[in-house]
Parts: sequence; C-alpha cells; structure tokens
Amino acid sequence: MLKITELKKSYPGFKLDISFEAPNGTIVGLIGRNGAGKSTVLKAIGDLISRDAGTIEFNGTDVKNMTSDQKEQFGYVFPDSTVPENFSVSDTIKLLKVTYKNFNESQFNDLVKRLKLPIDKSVKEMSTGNKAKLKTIIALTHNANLLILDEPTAGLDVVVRQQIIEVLQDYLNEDESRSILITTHISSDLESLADRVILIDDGNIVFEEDTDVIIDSYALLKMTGEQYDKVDKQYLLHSEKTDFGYSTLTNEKNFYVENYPDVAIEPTSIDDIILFLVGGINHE
Amino acid sequence: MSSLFVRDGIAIKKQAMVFIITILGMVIPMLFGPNGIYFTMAISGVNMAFLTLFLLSSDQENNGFKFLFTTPITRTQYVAEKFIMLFSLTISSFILTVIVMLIFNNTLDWAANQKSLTNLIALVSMAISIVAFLLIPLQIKFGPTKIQMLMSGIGALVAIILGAAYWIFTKTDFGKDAWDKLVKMYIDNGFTPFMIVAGIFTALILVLSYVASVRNIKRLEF
Repeated sequence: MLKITELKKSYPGFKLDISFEAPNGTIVGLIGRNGAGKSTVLKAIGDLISRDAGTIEFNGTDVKNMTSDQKEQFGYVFPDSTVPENFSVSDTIKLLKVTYKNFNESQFNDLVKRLKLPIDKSVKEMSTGNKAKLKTIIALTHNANLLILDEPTAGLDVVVRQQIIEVLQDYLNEDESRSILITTHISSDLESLADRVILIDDGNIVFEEDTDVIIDSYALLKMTGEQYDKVDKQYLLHSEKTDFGYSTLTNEKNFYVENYPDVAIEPTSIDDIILFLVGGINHE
Repeated sequence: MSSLFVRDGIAIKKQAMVFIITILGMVIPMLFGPNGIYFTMAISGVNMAFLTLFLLSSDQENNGFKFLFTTPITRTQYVAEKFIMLFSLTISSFILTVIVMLIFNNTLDWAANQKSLTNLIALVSMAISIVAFLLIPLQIKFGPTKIQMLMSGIGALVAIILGAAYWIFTKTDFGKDAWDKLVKMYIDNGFTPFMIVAGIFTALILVLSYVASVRNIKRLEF
C-alpha cells in the first residue's frame, strides 16, 4: 500500500499539504487544474524532489530509504522524460535488461509487436503516440507493484489512448496486488480505469470518492430559482447560478429523484465535479 | 551501476566521429616528427574529456535525469560511474598515445627520449583531465547548455594563464629565478618531482570534484 501522510512541499506562491492512501490492487486517479500539485505528489513519491515534511511509505518503507532492489517495485511514466532520445527500442531493451533484475524481455517484445512500435527508430524520430506507448511499456515490463503515471495519455488520439488503457488493464489483471496512481486531464480515462478519484486544488485535497459511488450517487440537478428556494439543500454540495436558475451538484441522487420528481436530474462526470468543486457556491 | 556503463556504451557507439578524430589526431601529427606528439596528446586527451561531458549531456537532455533516478540507479552511483568513465578514458588515451609514440619513434627513427616523452604525455593527460573533472560538478549543477557557454570562457582562461605564466617566467626576476630552479630540479632529478606534484594535485582535484558532484546531484530537484 502507498501511504502519504501530511506531505508538505512549498514553492513560491504554492503550498502542498496532503495525505491519502492507495491500497494494493487499486487504481487511484489524481485530478485537478494545472498547477494544483498533482505532479508534485508524483515527483515526491519518486524522491525526485525533497519534502518539507511528511512521510511517503510503500508497504511500510519510506521511499527515501529504499534500496535499489526496492525501487524496482515502481514503474514511472512522465510526459517529459524517458530513455535517451537517440536510443531505439532495441537499445532500450539492452538497457532495461541490465537496469531491472525483473525485466521481462519477452513481455516487452510482445507489447512492442502488439502496439506496432518501430524497433530501430530512435525515440526522437517516433511520433507522440509511439513515444507514449514506449514509456508505458518500459514502466510495466519489470514486474512493478505500483505504476506511477503522470498524464500517460496526454496529447494522444483516442485510438492510442485506448490501446494504452487496454495494456494497463491487462497489466492489472495479471496480478491483483498491483496498483496504479495516475494523473490525467482526460476524465473519461479515469471513469473507465480508476477505482477512486482524488481532486487536488491549490495543494490540498478538496474531494475524494470511489468512482462507483460517483456514478451511482452523484448527479447534477437543474432547477429554477423557485425550485431552488424550496428544495432541501442538505445534500447539495455546490451550486452555480445559471441563466435558467441553478445548477447544483449532489451526492444523494436518489433522495432528489424520490422527493423532487419535477427537478431535472442529469448524470455527472468527473469533469463536472472538478468544475463545481473549484468554483461555485459551497453549501457544505 | 553496470546499467550505466551499458547506457554509456550504447551512447558512445553512436559517436563514431569522436573515435575517428582521435585516431586521426594520434596518427597525423606524428607524421611531422617528435613535436607532433604534443598535438596528439592534446587532441586525444581533449576528445576523451569531451566524450565524458557528452555522455553527461546525453543523460541530462530532455529531462533525462528525471526518468533515470526513478530506476534502481542511485545518484551517488551515477556520479561514481561518470568519474570511473572519465578516468578510464583518460588512461586509455594516455596508453594509446604512448603506444603510438613508441611505434613512430622506433619506425621513423626520431631518436627522441622515450621516457621524457612518456612523462610529458602523462603530464598533459593529467592537465586535461583536471579541467574535465572540474567541469563535471558544474555541468551537473548548471546543465549542458551553460557549460558549453562556459567552455569558451575556459579556453580564454587557459590562454590567459599560459600567457601570464610565460610573462612571469621570462620578464620578472622572481619568475626567472623560479624557472632556473625548476630547470635545475629537472636536470638533477628528471621528471620525478614534477610527476609526484602533478599526481598529487590531480588526485586532490579528483576527490574534491567527486565530493562536489555528489553534493550537487543530491540537491537536484526535477
């Protein structure tokens, strides 16, 4: 299990202060606006930045104190970093064989064939989609227990995104104890992949919920001003004034379905939750 | 750490031009007689130093360190490997230059003092490696772009130092005395005291650069 406890990191004009857990066998999605602190969290887990305070433990060991062998438990994807750009896929295989004790060359080759990556083209000559596929394959072919994926599908077309998601799903199905911590701006990726969603804004967690609950219990209510004045507001999380009245977010869809049949109720998406929770009138 | 050597090996294979220049640098100057050895030493030594800095640049470009330090490589291992690489390349350059010098000296009948030439090759190798060792912690801290800009400054600085040394030794009484004493020391003892001092100085620079490199790389945030 990944356990982050009171992680604090400050930059000029920004302070991160969060705690959360990602149990084994789960996929946790970190979402939020640009500059919210998502990548800072991932970099702290990778010990790429120092912490001002707090602990980051994976299966009981602080990541700062991990041995080289323990570091093999992690597989990373960054949008702006990978193997040297003049390396080809075949060079990458030679490198990974001596870098990771648990590197699975046949799995790597199978994935390269499945995703149709060119073997002898250098990384800098590859398309954006092929680079993203290569980064993902590198992350998950050394039997990592935790994948840390920073916007793995950013800038990709829907076909390549789907290929990467399928590869990640297959990876998880192979071993139930594997976990993924993923940041993305593409909420549809999270809706199909994540078990839990954490919304970070301005360095703090403002929302945390299981995706099943979001699908089953969260909804958008569209009301006239008159309806809004009469409705029971105890389950309204956030409201926004609109031209027709009010648009509100609730986490008790069934309460309003049963008690206010004249109120328009629409399914909500993770994007709606982000838009409501980082703006609007807060009823909590 | 072996993965770092493999990584550098793959990168070096893609730099065939470095070896072509080194080989040409070893062979062509020597066709002009014993004095060509000085050009050979310089070309070979500088090439090896640049090769090490190139390997460092190759790891740094496009945020390469970010990915590298999420693998089972520690930052200290990375610095150690780079110093081992530079040391190995410097020794290789020295050995190759000496071998080529011996071959030319014997086949072309230069009748040069081989021991003196070997000592001179060693001194020049040490001098060039000192500059490279000093650049490693700076490149780790500031990145390859700023160091490339600094290289022009370093070239100018070396020229100034050599010019200043020439002026001191030839135009000042103190310098002339010091030069006479150095010549007497060479006549009495040969290269030995100079090699000892140069060796100690090089080792000291190596240790200080290593410590600075480890400190700088541990402070890097990505």
